[in-house]
Amino acid sequence: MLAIEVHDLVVEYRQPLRPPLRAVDRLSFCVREGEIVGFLGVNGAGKSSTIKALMGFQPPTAGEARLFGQPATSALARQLVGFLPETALYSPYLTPYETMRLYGELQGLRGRTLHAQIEALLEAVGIAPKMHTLNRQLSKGMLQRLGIAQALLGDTRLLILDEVSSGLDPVGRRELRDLLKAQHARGATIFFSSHELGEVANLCDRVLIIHRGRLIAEHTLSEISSRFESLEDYFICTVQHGVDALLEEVAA
Amino acid sequence: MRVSTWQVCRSLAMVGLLETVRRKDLYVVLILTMLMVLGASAFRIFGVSGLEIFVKDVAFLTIGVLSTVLTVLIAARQLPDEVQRRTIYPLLARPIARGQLLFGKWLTAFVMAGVSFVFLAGTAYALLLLLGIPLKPIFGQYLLLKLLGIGWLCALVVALSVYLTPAANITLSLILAFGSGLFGRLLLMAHWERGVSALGINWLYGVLPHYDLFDMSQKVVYDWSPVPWWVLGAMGLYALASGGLYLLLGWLRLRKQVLG
Amino acid sequence: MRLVGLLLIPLGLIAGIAIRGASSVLRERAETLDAITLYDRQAMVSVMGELRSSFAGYLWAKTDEYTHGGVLLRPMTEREKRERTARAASSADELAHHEDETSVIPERERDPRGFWGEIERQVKPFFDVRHHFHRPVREVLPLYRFMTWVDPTFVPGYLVGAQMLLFENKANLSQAITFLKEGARNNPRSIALFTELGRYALIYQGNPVQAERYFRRAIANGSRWMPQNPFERDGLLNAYRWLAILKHREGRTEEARRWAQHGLSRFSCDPVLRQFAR
Repeated sequence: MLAIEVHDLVVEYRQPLRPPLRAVDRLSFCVREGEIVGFLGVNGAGKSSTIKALMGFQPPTAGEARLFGQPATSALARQLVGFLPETALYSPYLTPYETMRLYGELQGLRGRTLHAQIEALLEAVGIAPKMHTLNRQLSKGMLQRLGIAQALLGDTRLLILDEVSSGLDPVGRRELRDLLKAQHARGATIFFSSHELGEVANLCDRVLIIHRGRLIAEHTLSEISSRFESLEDYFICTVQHGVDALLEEVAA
Repeated sequence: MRVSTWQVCRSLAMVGLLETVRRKDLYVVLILTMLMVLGASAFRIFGVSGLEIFVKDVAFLTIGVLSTVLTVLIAARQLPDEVQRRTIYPLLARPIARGQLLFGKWLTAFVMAGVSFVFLAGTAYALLLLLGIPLKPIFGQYLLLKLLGIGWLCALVVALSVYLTPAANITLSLILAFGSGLFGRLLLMAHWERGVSALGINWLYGVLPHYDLFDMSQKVVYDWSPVPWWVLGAMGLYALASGGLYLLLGWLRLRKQVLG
Repeated sequence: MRLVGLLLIPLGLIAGIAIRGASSVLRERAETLDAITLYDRQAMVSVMGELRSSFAGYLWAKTDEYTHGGVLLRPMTEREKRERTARAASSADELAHHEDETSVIPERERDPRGFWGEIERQVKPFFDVRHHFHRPVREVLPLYRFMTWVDPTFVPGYLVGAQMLLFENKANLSQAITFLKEGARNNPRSIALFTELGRYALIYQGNPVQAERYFRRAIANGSRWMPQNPFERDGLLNAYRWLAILKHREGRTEEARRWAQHGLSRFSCDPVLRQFAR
């Protein structure tokens, strides 16, 4: 089964007195269950807009996006999805435990099951000692760990992570990598965007590169490593080539 | 399995209550109320006795103004705060519909504002009792009617928050709340002086918000008898119907809205 | 929030010092009744004086509401007076005058709002304004005491307050006179207060000698200016009238005529003074 299906997705933002800004331009791709896919692109390429459309925060202007066969805008589609936003400031007047409890209850969990999951996840992300400290007293890195924990609540079969390593120290990044691998071993699908190409290379089976709202490359890590020294070389070359190809298309 | 609307509302409201207590804004309001009531009663020290009605008047004016302002401020920031902090994303990442979120935020605002109002009214009641100024049984009806009004006002403000920026929402909501009595008077004058038809008046009157009709404080101040219970029933129905309509209008916009 | 709270302490101290500083200047205002000059001269008096008189004015407006148990009355419009469409307020006792007034909330017969009007008549204080009774005077008396305590230069507070004391109980005469005398002490150049003291001396105490002294004082206070305030203006007119009446009752018709003519030089159209000036 396909965890993510995107067909000719278009996302436009209206601008006053100007033509709409097209952030995603006829994007199509799929992610199979059990894959780990990296979603790469330069700043402003359309990564976050794509992810917002996948999560239903942004109704698509055209095309469609599906999660496990359900339309991305429906609540049912998000039953099995865990999401980590790029930056999230959780309620400053709640503690990590209370934050997790809120999200867990909204996920349909309650009672001892929820309590056990909260404790286990906060332990796994390394902020268990701070679980009863108010969020406003936590550092940015700790809040990011809290974000990871809340994304893993429930029976998560698909993880969508936007700028997953942002704010984490090297130890935190290693722990996150281990956590994601453990989830993957459990059968979860992971779809994430990141600028940390080292993390992408360590985790992914496949990468997608988006540029100016369009998919310009889609390769497995083994294909990439057979032709390029590093993922960084591949990325820069692809983006450059992608720019040249777009310019040729426009000229034609 | 989708989460039930009741579960969504309950979870959000409990968190709202926690925030109300921890934010400490409520304590400032309580202190202000106490100061105003005690200040009004302090004139007795200066040889001006018999000012019971005046003290009650000040107390209920304070409760009315503060609870209205609090309600608007609380309700106006429910959704915008989530968007600004980007906590709307982890919320909507859950298997909940936007309509459930909107309803949940309304209930959160209602619980926060309602608890604040009950605190204010309870403090004023206790103070008045200490000052030897008891209140008649109509006070109970006043509390109930005011709570209905707060629920209704929360629905209006939460719905407006989907359409307007927080500053515009707060301004408009306060004008609608404090000016609601005046709008009604102007319509009546238009009918008597300019001959606007009764049907037209009733339509316009039905459309306008009537926050003033949820306020029975003047009857409490002047020790009037309790009103028939059908009045509260009618106002409850009005709150339900028009509050529901406001939330529906809010939902119609929210379901298609780009968030963040 | 903590910063705001901390700021309030020094602001409160400054305000307290300012009030103390302004108090002496406010007393000066009471002496002259020439508030405008003082307001122009001193910003602090302008602010503090206006605050106190605004608050006294607010309490003054409240007395009507208190008297009617919260029921609000309003003046009728010209159309309502002409067509007699509004229910005219009338007092069953003689406590208040309601010429051309009606209730803010309309009666059912005149209300186009139907059910909405019924709701408003239930949740707000409302009664039939025809031949209505008022709340006990003792409930509103403290307000007059309060408004004159807040603003000792608020002359109408003393005038009406004294009247209310008498309405409450004729035995309160000495209290009413004490109240008026306090007002006169705080406003030595008031016209209306001395006229009222004279009236009380004449009618309630049967002391024409004392009454004449008060009427003369009132006229002397108003000798150099024509007051614009309706209470003071009426006070000046009434001082002339009462003096003319007093002299006429004593059989001193010539003196009565002289006072009436003197009064007519200030109030040329007054029919009462014209009677005595013939």
